[in-house]
Amino acid sequence: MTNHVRELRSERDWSQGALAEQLGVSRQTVNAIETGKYDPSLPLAFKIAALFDLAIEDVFEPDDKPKRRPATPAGERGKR
Amino acid sequence: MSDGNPFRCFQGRFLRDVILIALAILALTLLGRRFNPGTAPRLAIAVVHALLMAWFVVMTMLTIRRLDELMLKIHLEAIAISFTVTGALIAGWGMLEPAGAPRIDWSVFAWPLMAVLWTVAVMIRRRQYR
Repeated sequence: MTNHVRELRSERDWSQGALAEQLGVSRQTVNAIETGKYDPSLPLAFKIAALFDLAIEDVFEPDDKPKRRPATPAGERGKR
Repeated sequence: MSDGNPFRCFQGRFLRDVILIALAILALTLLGRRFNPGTAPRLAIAVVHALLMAWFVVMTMLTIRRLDELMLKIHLEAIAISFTVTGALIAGWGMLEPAGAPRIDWSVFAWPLMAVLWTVAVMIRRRQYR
């Protein structure tokens, strides 16, 4: 999983320690997330996204993005 | 505390309490040997010993629950490693003793061994996340 935490944090001119404090985690955890060594839990990922006022998919991306299927129209559902 | 301290995520109070409990257990063990088994003072010392161990377990659990998710992961992995290695060592030594290896009192050495292995495992795992 890749993420944009470092860029987002830098844009806001926050230190790792300041971000860690707002998230209620250690500075090492923020550093490990930024360097991609640790993937946060879903609740923490949502917390990070909420702090940056973004959707979770704007902050975190899977390494190999699955191709999105075109949305199935409601009337088509269930048909083979 | 230095950045290389594997237990930096723990409060200093926890480490101080662990050292005090370890010293108290050691002192009680030495004191208990002065009394014959089955006597009231020896039993009283054994009860205090057990209560201190119980307090150590409760304190450790409370401290670990306060860690953040990465530190919790690191410490739980380290505890699993230290638990497994200590168990394997005690079982292995138990097989060596009948063959002539010196007898070891694991009631004294198991906890320090687990603590050392826990510390080493935390140091190694923390380096990987640095």
